[in-house]
Amino acid sequence: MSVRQRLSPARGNWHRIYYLLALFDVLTVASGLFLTHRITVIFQDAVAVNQAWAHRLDAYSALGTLASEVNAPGNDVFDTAAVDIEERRLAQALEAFNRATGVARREAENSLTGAERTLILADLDAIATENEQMVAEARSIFGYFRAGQPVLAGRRMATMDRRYAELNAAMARLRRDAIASASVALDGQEAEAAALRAYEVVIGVAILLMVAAATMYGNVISRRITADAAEREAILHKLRETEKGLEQRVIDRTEALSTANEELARLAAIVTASEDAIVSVDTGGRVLTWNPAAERLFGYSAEEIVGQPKMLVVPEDFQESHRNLFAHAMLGESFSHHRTARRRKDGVVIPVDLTVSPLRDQSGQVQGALQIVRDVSAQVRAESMLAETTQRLVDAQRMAQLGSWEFDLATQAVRWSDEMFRLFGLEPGEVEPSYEMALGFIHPEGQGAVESSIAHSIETGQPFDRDDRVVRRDGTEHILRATGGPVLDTEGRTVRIAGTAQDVTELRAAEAAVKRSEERFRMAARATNDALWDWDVVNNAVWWNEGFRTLFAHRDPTPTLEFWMSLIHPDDAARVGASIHAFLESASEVWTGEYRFKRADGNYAWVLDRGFAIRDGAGHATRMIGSMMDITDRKESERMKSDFVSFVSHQLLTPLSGMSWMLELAADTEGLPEDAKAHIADARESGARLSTLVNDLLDIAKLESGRLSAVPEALSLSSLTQSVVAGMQLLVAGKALNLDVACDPSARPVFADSQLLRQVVTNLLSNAVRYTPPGGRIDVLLREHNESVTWAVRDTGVGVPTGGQGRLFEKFYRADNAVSMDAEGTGLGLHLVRLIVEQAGGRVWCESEEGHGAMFAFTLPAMAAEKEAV
Amino acid sequence: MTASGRVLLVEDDKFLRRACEASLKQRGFEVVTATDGEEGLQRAREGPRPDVILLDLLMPKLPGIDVLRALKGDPSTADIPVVILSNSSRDEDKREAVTLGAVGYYVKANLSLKELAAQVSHLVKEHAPPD
Repeated sequence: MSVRQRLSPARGNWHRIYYLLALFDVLTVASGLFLTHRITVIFQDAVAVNQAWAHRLDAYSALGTLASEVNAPGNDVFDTAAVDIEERRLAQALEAFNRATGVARREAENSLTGAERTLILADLDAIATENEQMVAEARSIFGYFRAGQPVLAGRRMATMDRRYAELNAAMARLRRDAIASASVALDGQEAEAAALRAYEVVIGVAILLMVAAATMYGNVISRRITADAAEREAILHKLRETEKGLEQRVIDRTEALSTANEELARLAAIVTASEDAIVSVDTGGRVLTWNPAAERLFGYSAEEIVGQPKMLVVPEDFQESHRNLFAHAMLGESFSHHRTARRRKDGVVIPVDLTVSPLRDQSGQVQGALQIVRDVSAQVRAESMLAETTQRLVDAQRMAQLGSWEFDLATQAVRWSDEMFRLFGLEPGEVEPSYEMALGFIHPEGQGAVESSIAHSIETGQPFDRDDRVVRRDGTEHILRATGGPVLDTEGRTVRIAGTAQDVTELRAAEAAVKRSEERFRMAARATNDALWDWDVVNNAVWWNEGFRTLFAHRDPTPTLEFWMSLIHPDDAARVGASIHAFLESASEVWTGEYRFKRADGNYAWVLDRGFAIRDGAGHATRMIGSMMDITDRKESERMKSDFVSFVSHQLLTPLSGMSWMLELAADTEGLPEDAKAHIADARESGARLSTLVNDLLDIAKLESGRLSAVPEALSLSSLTQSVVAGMQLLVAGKALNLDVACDPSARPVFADSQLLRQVVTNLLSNAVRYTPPGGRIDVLLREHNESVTWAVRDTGVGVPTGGQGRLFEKFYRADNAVSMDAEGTGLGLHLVRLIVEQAGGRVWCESEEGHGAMFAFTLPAMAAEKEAV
Repeated sequence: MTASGRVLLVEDDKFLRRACEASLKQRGFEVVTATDGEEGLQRAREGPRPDVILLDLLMPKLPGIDVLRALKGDPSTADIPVVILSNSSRDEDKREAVTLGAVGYYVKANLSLKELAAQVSHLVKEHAPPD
């Protein structure tokens, strides 16, 4: 229902009354007005008539005055006797009189009608006649005067006066008639007015009726208005509400507009910030807009490309399909994630994901197309990698013998991958798998547990992971690791159990072996009295076993090399440090050292430390593992032995020296018989051998007890060899041996005690000379290889029997052929050589074939360049 | 005073002492002997001043090294050249003796009497007061 309708309720027939009243009102008022008008007109007419008559009466009265003027000269001439003057006065007065009567006559003719006109005109005619007669008498008078007949003139004067009286009477008639006419006219007006007055009553009654009706109607209207007011109020209320609603709608609309604006701004920001290239083109395929991502993707700036054909970035091979796509877009079709390719400004073609939608104007007309282009190079690479990975996974599964399986709870259907069949010793697809069949392959002792696991998994939704013994069709037993769990539907109900299975027989066996090995190591590490250590050289982290704590009572050893170094006896620290440093820089695998190591109680323990190095491809030691053996007791016994040896040696050397000197004195005695001289010479030689033996024993004792304090220094083995060879020239020449020394001059020095190393070279060379028959050949070689310097002497002597080679460097050992050839050897020389070389971080060995000479060699770590400089 | 000079020989072993004394006397040296460290020190200080002292290290009563230290610490004997005759070939013993002022160090087993006499003769000449 519209507002207008609500504002126009049914009014019944009251409006007709209102119209009747109004009509009646109009008629009454019109009648009143007409009546008033009529009366006014009558009054105005009456006034006009009255006025006209008044004017006429005035004019008529004036005629009397004029007439007196005309009369006057005929009288006055008697007094004045100035006929001419009076005649002129007469003429003038007559003219005025005639003019006035003329005016009156014309007025009456024009204004009056009917009887009045006739009457008045007759009166005026009479006046004119009377006047003419009076004037004629006057003129007679004047004629008499001129004729000098004053008496005759006098007589005429009376006549003239009569005529004047008659004129006045005519004029009086005129006035009377005029007054009577006026009165008649006014009476007529009055009668008309009186006639109209009868209507006043009618109108008054009518007005009374109208007022009564209006009052009644007014009441009705008043009630109606009150009702209407309430209704209007209600309607206004409704209107206000509607207005509020409208206002709200306006606010909403404004907000919507504002939101729309924000949306637009946001949209613009999104387009700007988008990682995807967003491009719009017109129907002609020319670029309209080009966002920053498009600039980044294609390398063209918006400035460069806007207005250019979009085809610019479409590679030739793709232009046809792009034209096709674009044509469809112009027909209003959209395309999502179309995989195609685009060309960048630098010419590189990249795979892209293209979304095209038509751009429409407000009328829905297609005005172009919006294209969203995403670089999918990474995705393509990832897909390619994924495909490779998937294939690899399949291969890996095949290789790893990893099978997959599924058990549908509703249908009880079981699905196996090919590998799954193989895991049970079956050919893929040769049988229809089932739950019972799978269970049948499980070792009978484990079937119950498998069923419990699956039931538990279904019940709780938890995955399972278990190892089971399975018996293949061929009867072999394997260990199968099965992992699986429930697969839920969208409502969270378990619909399937699915998982994988893998043959872990070998893995478990290997794990068990590793576990046993680890246990063995742990037990060994615990069982040994040695301190075991594991040094991560790269990160300088040292692990100590329990034995370290037990052995040295350090409860909480710091896991660093510095901690270890700090506990080495100050007198040994430099030597051990240098030794381990040299070892690290060498290519050797095994390091040994003996030193004093501080216990927690402050006392020193003698330890034999042996380490094994693990080296990387470049030969750098990355890790060392070793053990520290407490050899304090052994050292103590060695010391006692050494003291004993020292004591014994001293006691031996003193008489030996005495013998030697006495024999020297005896030999110098003059006059001795030749026999005596020969005996004395033999005794001296025997003494000299004894002296050598005792000295070697002493050296060995010192070396073995660690009491021989070597003073290592940079040594040129080449120079040392030349020096030793020079001292042996007499011996060599005496046996006619061919001695050749070939030293590589570029070989680096070694770090060793010069006196001890000289003894090594001397011992090895003198052995070669001793055991090479006259005329033989001796070659000395020196070269550097793999961070080591190798010294070797090769002879063409008797060689070493195969059985004796392993014991050659033992104390007191002498090879059989050596004993038979030279009874004077002590069996200590090579032992000394080994002790000295090994103490310097080197190794000594022998290669020989009996009867075909021998080669004795030793290696020592080559010195690092910086150390050499120091 | 003989033409060859006076030698003080401090040696506890009688055979070594005799051999050495005989050898040096044969070569014209006047030889004064002592059988231990204390006696040796006493002879060096009280007897006729020796031109050279030959000193054993391992001896009863006072070890040779202490005798050497005492001799070098005494202004009256500090400038007498001392030669050590020892059984020890240890470098540290050698170094210690040299450090304390010994002019020579010989391992007896490696030394001939001829060499010893030559060394003594050389020292006597070297340390002879200018005439």
